[in-house]
This record gives sequence, structure tokens and C-alpha cells, in this order.
Amino acid sequence: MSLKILTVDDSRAVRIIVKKAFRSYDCEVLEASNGVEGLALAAKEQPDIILLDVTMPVMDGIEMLTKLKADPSLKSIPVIMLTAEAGRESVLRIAKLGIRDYIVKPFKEEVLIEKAGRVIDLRPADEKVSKAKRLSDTVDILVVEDKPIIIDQISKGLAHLHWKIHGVSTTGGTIDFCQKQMPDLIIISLSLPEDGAFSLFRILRAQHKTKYVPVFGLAVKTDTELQQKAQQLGFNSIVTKPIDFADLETKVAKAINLDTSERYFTYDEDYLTINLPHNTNSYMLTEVQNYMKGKIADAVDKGFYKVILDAGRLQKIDMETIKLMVQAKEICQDLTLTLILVGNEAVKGECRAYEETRNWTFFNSVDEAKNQPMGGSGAAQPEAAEIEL
Amino acid sequence: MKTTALPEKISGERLEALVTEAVDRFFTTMVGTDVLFMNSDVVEEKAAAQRDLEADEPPPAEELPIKTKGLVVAAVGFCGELDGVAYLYFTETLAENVTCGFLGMEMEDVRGNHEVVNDALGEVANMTIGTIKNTLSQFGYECRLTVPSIVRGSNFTIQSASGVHRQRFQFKLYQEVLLLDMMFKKTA
Repeated sequence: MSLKILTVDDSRAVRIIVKKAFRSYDCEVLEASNGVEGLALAAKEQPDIILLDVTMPVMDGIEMLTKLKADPSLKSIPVIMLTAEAGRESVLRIAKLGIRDYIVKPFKEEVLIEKAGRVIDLRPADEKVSKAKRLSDTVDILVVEDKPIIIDQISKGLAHLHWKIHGVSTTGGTIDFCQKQMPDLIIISLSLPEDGAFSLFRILRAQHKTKYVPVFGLAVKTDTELQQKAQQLGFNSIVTKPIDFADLETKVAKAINLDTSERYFTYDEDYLTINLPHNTNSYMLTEVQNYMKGKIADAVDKGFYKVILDAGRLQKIDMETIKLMVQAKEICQDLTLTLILVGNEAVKGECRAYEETRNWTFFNSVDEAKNQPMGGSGAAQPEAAEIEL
Repeated sequence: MKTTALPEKISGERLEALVTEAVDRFFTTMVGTDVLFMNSDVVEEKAAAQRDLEADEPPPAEELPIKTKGLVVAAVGFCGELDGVAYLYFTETLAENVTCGFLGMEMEDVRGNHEVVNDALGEVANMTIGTIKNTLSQFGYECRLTVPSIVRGSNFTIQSASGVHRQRFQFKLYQEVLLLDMMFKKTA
């Protein structure tokens, strides 16, 4: 449900500015031009936060605030004062009435969002439909680690990807970096001195801009106490040293909702290839499964007539992989595409052990498979070989 | 001709600094445009005798450093340790440009829309003079602002009461002159 923000100000200009500031967030901005209207609207709508001007006709902000705090049904609504009054006495007088914060006019929109974001959980309006980054896009990862050699290791371990590894060694360095450039993910060494990792995590979660950036903790594998503390605090994931880079890659991709389909699916001249990497694990199989139907449907849309499933690089095959291959066959049948399999001896041997896959035939390479005419041998099942679009 | 002295603790340079800073702060923060301070001058008060001589004659058009046709003037008063009023003079075009930048609106929605422009300029005055007021309070001159008001017209003058310090500050933005006319005196 959208948040409700009530802005109470006699200046229509200020109400317009407030509405504009929150337009990219999932919230509804309600307006009142004086304290009387503000109280009525607050009682009716129960907003999540009230932005309140001081100087207004009919009923000023001080009186409205006093009445809000005296009403049991309204007193818990947080209030931020928006005021041109910055005098110490005025601020103290208002603060005693129980406001959460105050903003002196003129103000930057970012300040308004930052301060409101500390009180209510502001989320971007299009968070759910925001475009995911692809594997070929640049991903910025900030590593907070006081040992430069670790930063260097991570850079080298992920060098095959379009990921930029930025290294800082302190909390201050992290905050400065995030002011200039928002990373897609932050990895913090849990062994920073004086519990620095945990203080830094709290700071990142308290600031609106960094509130939703995934944060991983990095710790030695045997340091379970630190790992547990990080998990309890709310770190998104833990990475243990020595670092398994394939595992790190998978975790990062998952945390930032990376579109990894291009790792597995390629469109060639007139066919789609589904590539299963040599180190395919259950997480990767799930990824392939998630994308498969859509990608095969896209292939139909492009006018393709065949799909090649290349399992030739697999070092081992298990029931999960076979299930995936069966699923691919079913989807292709539904869409009247020819599925051609490529496999090595291990894959062929394993498939012969199962009823469903016993009669499957495999080509030895994609080159052999792609030259097959439509309906040629090597299709998943002989009876499917003649199926055409 | 008599010049009314500034209240103690506020020198001419200090007043100029705090006014220019307040104007700059407002326009860069809320309108997103640079504003250039050009100069300021103290407006001298005519002697009582001279004013009496002119009483039967229409006052001469005051020499303002901006076009006087089609002005939009935002005024806001302040009272407390200092009593005074400040006026921000805009031409119609400048008023509309400032409104567009301030509210993030398109010119087609602003042009000719007096209600929106008046409200925007009232808030411009509120925030700009509010900032000046807050700085003055740091020097011990606590004041409160009145609600802003807007005057529209051509070829009019605003004359001050006796015994006030009056100073005008010229700025340039959107290739036009913005005039801030401030007059005040220390309360007895």
C-alpha cells in the first residue's frame, strides 16, 4: 500500500514543490492550506507523516501541532516542520512539542527526501518494474577492506565479468564514495577494527540513498561468530574466505537481480542455443529454468525453427539436469520447434539409464547440430524429428 | 539630505553580504539558477521641507534601475527588534521565468497565470527575506515575518517613512535585473 504524506502549508508553491519531490516514490501526497484543514485531513486519512509549515492563516503550525499531540488517534503521526524560522528559540520551542525533524526554507528536494526517508520507508514508485542489469552491463561493487591484497584478489577473481571493483578501507571512505557514486553492491570485511563493519552497516541502512543497496559481509570461513552477528543485523549474505568466486558471482547476481540469461542463451542466425556451463550447479539450473520458456518463445517470435541444447561441457549430470532437458523438450513440442541435443559421453551414458531419456540421441558438437536440416536426426525424440513450425 | 544610520552591529558591508548570500542561496537551491550581484546603494531620505514643497505636485517617477512597466512586486514585512519591509521587484517576464524554475512547471502553464505566479513570488519573498531575518537574529535582532503580498502595476513608486534605513540591491538573473529594496529601523 502507498504511503500517505500530508503537506500542510498556506503556500501552494510549497505544496507543489513537495508533491514534485515525492513523485518518483510510491506515495500519495495530500494537501491542506492551514491548520484546520490539516487536522481534518489527518483525522480522515491517517497519513504516515505530516510536513507542516509554521506560519499559516486560520490556524498556524504550532497550534495544529499542539492539537495533534493532544489527540490520542493522531499523536503518533510523525511531524516534520517546514519553516522559514531558523532562530534558535523558535526551533527549541517547536522541538519541545515533539517533532521528528525540521527543515529550514529554502531547502533542497534531496534534504526533504532524506529527512522524510529516515522517518518513513520511502520506496521508488517503479521498484518492482525497474529494468534489471544484464550480465554485459557494468556493475559497481564497493569492497570495504583494510587489506589491499583482498581487494586485489576480488578484482582478479571477477575480472572475466564487466564488474568494476572499487576498494576503500574505512567507514569514512565508504560514505564519501557513496556520496559521489552509488554502488550496486557493497562487500564489507567483518574484521574491520572496532566493530567497524557493523557500525558502517547501521549507517548505510539509516541513510535513504543506501538503504536498499545489498550489503555482503566478508569473513574467514571459521569465524562463525562474526558471520552470525552479521546475519542477525541484516546483512544480505556472507562471503567466506578463501573466496569461492563462482559462488560469489552467483550471490552477487542474485542480490542485484542481474539478468544472467546471456550466460546461457544465445541467438544465432536461425536457431537458439541453450548453453549449460561446465560448472553448472543447482542455482544455475534454476536460472536456466526461469528464463527458458521466455527465451524459446522469443525464438519463435524471431522465426527460428530449432533449439540446440548444448550439454557438451557438463562434467556430470544429475536428475535436476535431466529434468531441465525434459522440460526443454516439452516447451519445444508445445511451440512446434525442433530440439537438438549436444552431449558428451557422460551425458549420453546417464541419459541411457532413464526411461524417458533412453532413446535420446546426441550430437557431439553444436557445429554438427546446427547443420542438421529441420527434422533431421539428433532431435530429442525420433518422433519429434518431423515436427515443423 | 539625511541618511539614516544602520543599527549597530550591522555595517554596510555586513548587510550587503547577508542579503547577497540569502538571495544566492534561495535561487541556487530552489530555482537552480545562478544569480549575479551587481551593486547596492543607499536611498537617501529627502528633507522634510523638500517633501512639503512637493506635496501638491505628483511625485516624480522614481528612477528605478529596472523597467517600470508591468512590474510584479513581492513584499514581506518583519517586526521585532527591527521593523521593516522588503520588496522584490520583478518584471512580468522575470516573474514567470522564476516561477517556472521554482515550481518545475512549463511556461505554457505559467504565462498569464497570475494566481500561480503571485503565490510563487510570495514564497520567494518569504524564503529570501526569511533567510535575511534569520541571519539578523544571530546579531541579536529577533524579528518575525508578516505574510507576503503582491503588487502589480506600472509606473508606481514606493516611498518610505521617515527615519528608516533604505538600501537597494541589484541582481542579474535570466538576463534581467532583480531589485531587492529593503527599508527598516531599529525599534525604540
